Amino acid sequence: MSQTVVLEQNAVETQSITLKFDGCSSDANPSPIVNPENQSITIKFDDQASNHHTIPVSIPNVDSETEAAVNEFLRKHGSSDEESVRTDAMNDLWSFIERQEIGTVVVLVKFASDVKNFELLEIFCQRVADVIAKKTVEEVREIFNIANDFTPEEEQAIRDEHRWAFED
Amino acid sequence: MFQGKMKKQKRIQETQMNPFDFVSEEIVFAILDCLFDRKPFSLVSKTFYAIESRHRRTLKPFPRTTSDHHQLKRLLNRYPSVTHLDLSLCPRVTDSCLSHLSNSCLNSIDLSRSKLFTHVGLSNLVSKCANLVDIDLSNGVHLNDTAAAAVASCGSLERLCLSRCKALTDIGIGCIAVGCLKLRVLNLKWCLGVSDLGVALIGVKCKQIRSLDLSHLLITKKCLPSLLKLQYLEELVLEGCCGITDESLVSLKQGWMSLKTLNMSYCENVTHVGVSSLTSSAGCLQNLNLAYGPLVTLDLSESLQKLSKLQSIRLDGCHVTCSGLKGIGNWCVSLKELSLSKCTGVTDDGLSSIVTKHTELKKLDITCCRKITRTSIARITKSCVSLVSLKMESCTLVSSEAFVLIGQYCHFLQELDLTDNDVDDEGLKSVSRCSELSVLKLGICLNITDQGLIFIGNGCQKLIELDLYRSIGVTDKGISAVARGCTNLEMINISYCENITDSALISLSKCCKLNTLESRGCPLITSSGIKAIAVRCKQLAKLDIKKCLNVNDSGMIPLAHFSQNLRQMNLSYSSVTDVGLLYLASLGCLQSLTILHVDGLTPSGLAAALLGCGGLTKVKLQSLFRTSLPRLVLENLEARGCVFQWRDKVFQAELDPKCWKLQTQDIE
Repeated sequence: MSQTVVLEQNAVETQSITLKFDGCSSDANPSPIVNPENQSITIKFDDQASNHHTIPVSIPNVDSETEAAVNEFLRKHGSSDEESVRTDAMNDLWSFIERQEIGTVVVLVKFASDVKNFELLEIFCQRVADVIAKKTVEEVREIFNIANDFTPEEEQAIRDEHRWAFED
Repeated sequence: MFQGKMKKQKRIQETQMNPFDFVSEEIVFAILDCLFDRKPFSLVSKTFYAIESRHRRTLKPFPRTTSDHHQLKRLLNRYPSVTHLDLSLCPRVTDSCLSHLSNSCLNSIDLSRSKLFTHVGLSNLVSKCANLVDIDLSNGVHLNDTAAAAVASCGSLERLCLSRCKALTDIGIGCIAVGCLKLRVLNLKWCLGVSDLGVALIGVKCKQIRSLDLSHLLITKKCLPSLLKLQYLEELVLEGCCGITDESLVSLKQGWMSLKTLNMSYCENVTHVGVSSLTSSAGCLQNLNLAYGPLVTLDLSESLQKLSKLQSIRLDGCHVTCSGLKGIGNWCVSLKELSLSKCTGVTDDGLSSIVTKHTELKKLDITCCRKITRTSIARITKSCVSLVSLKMESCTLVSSEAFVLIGQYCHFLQELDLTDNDVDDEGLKSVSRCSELSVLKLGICLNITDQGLIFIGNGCQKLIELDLYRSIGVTDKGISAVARGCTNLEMINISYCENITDSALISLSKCCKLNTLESRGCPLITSSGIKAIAVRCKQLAKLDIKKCLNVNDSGMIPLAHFSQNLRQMNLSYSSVTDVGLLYLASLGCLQSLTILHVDGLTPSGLAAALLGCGGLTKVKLQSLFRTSLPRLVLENLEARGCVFQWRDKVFQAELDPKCWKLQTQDIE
């Protein structure tokens, strides 16, 4: 899968942007496509490059600390093929995520899904699942601000089905 | 914002909405994939209920569902996207049950433990579920050729298991051969009604077959030519096919170039002559099983040398000669797996010559090779450092210092079986260096104590299964050390470790993945210990507390309340009464119950408890209850699919632990 980076140039000022590539990424030279209408430059990267990129990503709807932690993970994880370095990166990201609000993590899940980064997706989904797994039904409703729209009879019928009808 | 970071705030701010409203269903599915128990999720709200209903792909109904069709229909309506339906918990599946299954998503169905359905139900099933690819009809002793013909109309079928369908004949198999042209995997084990003709038809018609199991069939060389024509056949199982002889194999003219795995265990009529022909024609064999077969002589080893791709060989139960073993040591290929389990004739000399050559061995099984000594172990550990599995039960001549070498050299070990050996704490200290160890069997190791287990607890963090059967030197201290260090523990056997008390169980309750606890003959265990396990080990599926005389009804209450996954229980010789059993009746998933020699049982109490357990499939009781339980109760339970096993065993007092070996093993 390829990754597209769009750089928009401010009409008034000129900006110089430095792009860093990981030393061991693909040989393919990205060729920039300039769009004069909206003054943006599009650069498409090859598969290999996108897995080892060290370009910081921008994550909508999260605070800067979270964004920094995710970028740190991407940098570390992509910088080496060594198992121990990658595991460390995962553990660091995992400990960071455990301290975050669950709403943030759900936003991160959406982000990971949008950019199709499956390593991130796995970590964030697992975290949400872990939080849900330890809670009772009422607690889950409370955390996510969800209203219980079952009637007591409906809820009991479902509980009975869970107990008697099938294995999970 | 700042506030959010200072307090460890779990609750989302009031102004924010439910974050799940902004994510797609696909994303919620990804989260659900990581969730083990999805039932609570579906109870949160109607939206979550609907999402979970669309997510579920595998469904395993409990027995009550198939008895009550309304319940079955409701369940199937709730989960329309199910691709795999596992009915192995439901002994009673009638034709009308099967008629409710009308689902184009259904790919695979497991009916291996179910009875009462006939060709009518199967016909309906196959016509309504157009995408069925995998059907398991094992143990279908009641299924006849008409049923096979019904299955044959499933043109999309790729995997079919008919093991033990004894009533099937060549006619039924012929129908399947003609109808299921896409078959890739076919299992006809024990289909004694099938002969050369049926098998030959499979060979002629089912050209896509990759894997074929013909174990115990009365086939002869007549079916082999058509099997040889199967271009893609990779796996062939001919276990117990006594009609296949040396002559049959010698008559194979063409090659079997696609064959990778061949199982000819228990083929009494095959000697090195037959094997030699085989190796000429099946040159690409990677895995060969000749257990309980030919005499392993130099001739045999030399003929096996032709198999240049051989990775794994099993010679369990064969008599081996020293020259035969040395012959194996002369091969050019480097074996990955070797089994000499229960072989007679294995000596240090022969074994050493094998392991010196085959240094890439990953799995080695030398169970009951009673003649080998520490010399072999020294050679094995130093040569085969990549070993992942080593099984050496009952290698009784190996002295204790040899076990130190295992931990010294074989760091990749994941499975180690040292049952009935002289290993001591020094040995365990060394074994604890194997940090990848997940299965460790130390049953009947009379020289190990808590000290050894403390080392294991510290070193083997990945341990999943630990067997300490009759290792009487073990007490609470050792178990606690293991429970603290090995948090992923799922199975533990501390049967007859008489010094174990509730304290050990309380420690074990911290292992939240624990699903099997076997603690027979631990008289110091009481209901408090059982309660500790029940409350925290929610995954508990199998509990054996036979001869735990001090466990009574108060231990059953927490089990009834917390152990929603409990399937199998042995309460023989305990102090449980009718009352305790009645509590257990509320467990919808309880399938197997053994209660022998329990004084506090009355016929009426027992009847009530058994009727209450909706899912019982197997009950072992004393013969006297056969007459004292009401006839109607027994009939009702049997109609629900429950099988009764009646036992007449006389009450047995425990022997001195060191003398037990002379006693026959207790099975129930």
